[in-house]
Amino acid sequence: MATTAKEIKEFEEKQEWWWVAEKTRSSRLDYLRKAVWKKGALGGNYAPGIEIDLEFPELYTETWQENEGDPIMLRKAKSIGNVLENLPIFITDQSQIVGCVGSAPHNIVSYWQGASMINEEIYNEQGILPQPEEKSLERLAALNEYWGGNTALDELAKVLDPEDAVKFMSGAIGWGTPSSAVGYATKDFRHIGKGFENIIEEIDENMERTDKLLRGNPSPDLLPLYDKLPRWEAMQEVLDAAIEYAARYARLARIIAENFETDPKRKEELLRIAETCERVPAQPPRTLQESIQYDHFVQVVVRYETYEGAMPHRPDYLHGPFFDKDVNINKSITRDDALDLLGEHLIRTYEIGIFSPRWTREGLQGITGTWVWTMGGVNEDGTDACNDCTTAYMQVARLVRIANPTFSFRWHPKVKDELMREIFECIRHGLGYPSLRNDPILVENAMYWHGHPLREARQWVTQSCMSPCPPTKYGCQPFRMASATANCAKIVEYTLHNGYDNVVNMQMGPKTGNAVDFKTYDEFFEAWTKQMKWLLNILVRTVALGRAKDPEFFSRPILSAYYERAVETGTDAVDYTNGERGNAWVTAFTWVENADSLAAVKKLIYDDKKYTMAELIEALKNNWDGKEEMRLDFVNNAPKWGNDDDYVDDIMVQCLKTTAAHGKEIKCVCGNNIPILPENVSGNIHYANVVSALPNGRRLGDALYDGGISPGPGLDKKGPTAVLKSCGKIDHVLDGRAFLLNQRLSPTQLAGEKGYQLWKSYVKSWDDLGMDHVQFNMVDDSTLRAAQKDPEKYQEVIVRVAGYSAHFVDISRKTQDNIIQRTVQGLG
Amino acid sequence: MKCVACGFEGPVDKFRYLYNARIDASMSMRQCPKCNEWNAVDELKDEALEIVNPGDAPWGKSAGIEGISA
Amino acid sequence: MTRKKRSSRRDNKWNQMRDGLTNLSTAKGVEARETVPDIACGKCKNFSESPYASDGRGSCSVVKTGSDFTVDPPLILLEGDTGMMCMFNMDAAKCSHFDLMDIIDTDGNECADPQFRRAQRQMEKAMS
Ligand code: SF4
Repeated sequence: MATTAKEIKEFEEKQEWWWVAEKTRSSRLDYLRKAVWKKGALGGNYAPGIEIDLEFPELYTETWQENEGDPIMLRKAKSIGNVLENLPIFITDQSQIVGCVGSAPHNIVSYWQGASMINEEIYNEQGILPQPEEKSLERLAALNEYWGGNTALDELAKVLDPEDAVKFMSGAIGWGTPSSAVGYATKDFRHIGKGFENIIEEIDENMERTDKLLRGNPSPDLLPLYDKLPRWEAMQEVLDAAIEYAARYARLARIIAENFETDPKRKEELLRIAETCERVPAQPPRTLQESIQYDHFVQVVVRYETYEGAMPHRPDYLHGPFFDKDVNINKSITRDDALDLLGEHLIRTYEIGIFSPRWTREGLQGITGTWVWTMGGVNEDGTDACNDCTTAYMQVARLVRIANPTFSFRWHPKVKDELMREIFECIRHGLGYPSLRNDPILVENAMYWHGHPLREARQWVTQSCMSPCPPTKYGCQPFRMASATANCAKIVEYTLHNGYDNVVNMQMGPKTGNAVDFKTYDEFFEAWTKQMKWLLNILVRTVALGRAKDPEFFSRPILSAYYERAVETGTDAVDYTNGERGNAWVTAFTWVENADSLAAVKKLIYDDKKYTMAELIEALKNNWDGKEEMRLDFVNNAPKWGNDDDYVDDIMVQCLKTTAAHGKEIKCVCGNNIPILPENVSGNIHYANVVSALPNGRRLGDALYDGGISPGPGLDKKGPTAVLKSCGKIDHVLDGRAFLLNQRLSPTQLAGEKGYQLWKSYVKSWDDLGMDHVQFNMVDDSTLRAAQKDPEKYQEVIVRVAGYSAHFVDISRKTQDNIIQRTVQGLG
Repeated sequence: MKCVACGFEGPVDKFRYLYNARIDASMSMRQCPKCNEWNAVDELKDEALEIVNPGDAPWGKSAGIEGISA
Repeated sequence: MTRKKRSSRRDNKWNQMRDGLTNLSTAKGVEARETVPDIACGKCKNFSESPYASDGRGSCSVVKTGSDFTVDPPLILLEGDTGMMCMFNMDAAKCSHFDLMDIIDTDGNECADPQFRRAQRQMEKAMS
C-alpha cells in the first residue's frame, strides 16, 4: 500500500528519517539499497554471510608463478590482467552501473602479495571462509605457503632497522603498513579522463621515442631507459585488461537482454549498459551515465591492484557538466533519472569490500574504507564550483542513507543559501555528513605546508578523511601518506614512564629520565618534546623507507597508468623521483589527551603541589585502582580543553607549535615538510586497551577522546561557544594540516527554520574563528539507547564516528557508548 | 566485591575492567571472571551495583541538553 | 678466526625480535595451523596480543627475548627490556611461568584488548 503524504509527515515529525527515505525514494533505489551487502566490519568482525574471495588470489597467483622472470611491474600487470579477464562478473537486477571488486556480491577481497601477517590473519579469521570450510582452509594454506616470507612487507622487514621494525609493528605507537599493499592514492582525474585508449597511444609514442634513442649514440643517459620499457608495457597491459573487463560486462548485458530479459524497459536498460561499457573506459564519457560508469570502473579496477582504503575524489566537479547537459540543457534524462544514477553510484561504491587487517577494521568500524568524497569548493580561478550535481548528491544521499561514501563539503563564503539548506538537511536527517571544511583556510594551509601553487591548491580533494591534496600532475599523492599515523597519547605516557611501555612490555621511547626527578613543569615538557620527536621520527623514517622501496617490493602498474607524470617518465607512480611535490602529514591519533594530561600534571603536581609525581606514577601503574578520589581530582579539578580556559588551552597550543616546528625539520621522501593532522577515526576505541592510565583521569580500557581537537566526552561543560573559542586559539594554517572537531547537536533544538538559522550562525562563528573542520551528530540519546537495545529495529540509524559515518548498529558497544557520552551542545 | 549476577566474590581488580561510564564519575563497568556478566561498579566504594545490558545507562543521561526545545 | 662484528645494532636483541616477527608463523599445512595446545601462550595471563596483527602474535610480559623452548632444558630468560615474541597457539608445555587466564574473551566484535582478547577462529573453537 502506498504511503500517504500524511504518513511521511508523521515520520518527519518523529524524526524517523530512515522511514522517510524508504517511503520517498524510487522503487529502483529502494531495491538496490536493500540488495547491497553490508561489508564493513560490525565492530571487529564481518557480518554473517560475508566471504573472502579465493578465486581472485588464485588467478593472480597462478599468473604470478608463471612469469617469474619478468620485472615486477610487468609480472604484476599480467597477474591483474588474468584476474580482470577471467574473474566471474555479475549484473545486479535493476542496476544501471556495473563493476564490483570480487567475484560475487557478498565477497570481500585481499591481496596476498602484500603481507604474510595479513594472509595468516585471514586464515585465522572468524566467519569469512567460503563453505565447505575444510576446502577453504586448504586453499588458504596453499596460498599462504606460497607467499609466506615473500610478500612486500616481508621484503621490507628485511631492510628496516631492526629496532624500528619491532617497535613499529608492536602496534603500540602507530598504525599503518609501510607499503602500497595497504594504502590509498589520489587519482589524476584530468589525465584519466582522456580515455584508456588515448593513454595507451600516449604510451606507444613514448615507447617509440625511447626505442629510437636506444638505437642511437650510446650514452650513460640511455641506461635507465631500458627499465622504462617494461613499465610502459605493464601500464598498457592493465589498461587493455580494464577495457576488456568493461567489454565483458557489455557482452553479459547483451546476452541477458537478447536471450533472457522479458521486460522491454529493462531490456533497453541492459542494452544501454552494453553501449556504455563499449564506450568507457576506452573512450572519454559523453553522458552522465557514461561519466559515472567510467568513474566507477576507475575505482573498481585499481582495487584489483591493491587495497585502496580511501577514495580521494570530487564527483560533483567531475560529473557536474554531464549532469547539467543531460538534465538541464538537452533534457535527455529527467532529474529523477539522474538521481537514480547518482544514488546507484553511492550504492555501488558502498558495495566495494576489501578485507582489512583487524586494527584497520577496529579503527574504521562499520565501513570498508574511508570513501570521503569532496564536494563544493572553488574552481582554479577562485569562482564557486558548486553546481546542480552538488545539490543532487545531497538530495540523493538522504534517500539512500548509506554510511560510505560520505561527503566532505568545501565551504566558502560564496556558497549559496539554497545549497547550505541542502547540507543542513543531510545533517538534520542524522547522516553525520557532509563535514564542513573551510576552503580558504585549507587552500592557504596547502600552500604554506607543501608549497602547492594557488591554482592547484584550489583543486584539493580530501586524501582520506581529512587531509587535502591537489589531484594534479605533481600534486597527486600515490602512497598512503608517505608518513604515518601516531598514537600520540603515548607521548605523555612515555614521558611519565621513562620511555617504557607497560602494555607491550618494551623499552619503546627514549629514556628521558625518571619523571620523579623533574623539578619543574618545563623539565617535564622538555621530556615530552623529546618523546614527541622520537615518535614522529621513528614512524616517518619507517614509512619513508617503505615508500622508497615500494616500486621494487610491490609496484603499481594501474596507478602508474592513472598518473600523467608516471606515463610521461616511464616510472612507477610511487617512485618519489618523478616530480611529486610531496603532501605528507602525520595523522595524530589520541592527541588531546596530551593537553589535558599535561595540564593536570602542571596544576596538581607542580603548581598546587597537591600530589607528588611518585604518587601519580604509582596510581597510573595500578590503573588508578584504589585511588578513585585522586583520579576524580585529576578529572574535575584540573582544567580541561574545550572550556575556553587559557591554562589548558595555552598548553594545547604549545604542544601544537612545538610539534609544528618539528614538522618543519623532518622531511618526506620528496623533501617536503610534514605537519601533524589530529584526528582519530575510531582509533580512539582500538587504542583504548593499548594506552595506559593517564593523568587526565582515564584508565587503561577507557575510550580515548574521539576527535582531533574535540574536547573529552562530557568534559566540555561550558557550551559550544567555549568549545569554538578554545579551538579558535589554534592557528589552523601554521599549527598543523587539519584539525578534526566533532560536535553533537540536539535534533529537537534544531528543528524547523529556527534550527537552520541557529546552525548557520554557528557556522559563521566557526568561520570567524578561522577553523578548518567541523562535523555534526544529530541523533538523540534515546534513539541511540533504543538502538542498542533493539538493533534490528534501528538498522538504519547513522552516526558520525570521527572523519566518517557508520550505521550505529555496526559499531562496537564501547564505540556506541563513547558516542552517547559526547556532550550534546545547545546552540544559541 | 560481589558480582550482582552470580555472587562471585573477589577483590575489585579480579573483575576485568572494561571502561568508564563517564570519565568524570566514579562509575565503571567490570566483567565478572566467573559468569562474564557486566557489572556497573561504584569505584569509590568498590561495590557492584547492577548488571548492565545493552541500552542501559546506569550513569544517567549524557552531559548535554537533550530534550530541550528552543 | 671469526671477524668481530662492527655493528652491534645488526646483531642484538632487536634483530632477534625482528626475526621473531617475520618468522613467527612457521606452521605449515592445515593441521598445524588448526591446533591450539592445552597449554598455549594464548591462554596465559602473561601473554599480550599484538594490537598490530591479529594473526595471533604477541609478547610475553615475563619471559624475555632470547629465551628458547625448543632446547632441552628450555632456556628461559627473565631479565631484559623486551618480552619474548610468541603466538597464541605456541606450545607452552615447557614454560614454568604459564598462568591460566580467568577470562578469555574471544568476541571479535569488540576491539583490541591485548591482555584478555583472543579473536582467532581457532581460539574461539578451543574455548567453546
Ligand atoms: S606460557 Fe610462558 S612464554 Fe607463554 S605467555 Fe605464558 S609465561 Fe609467557
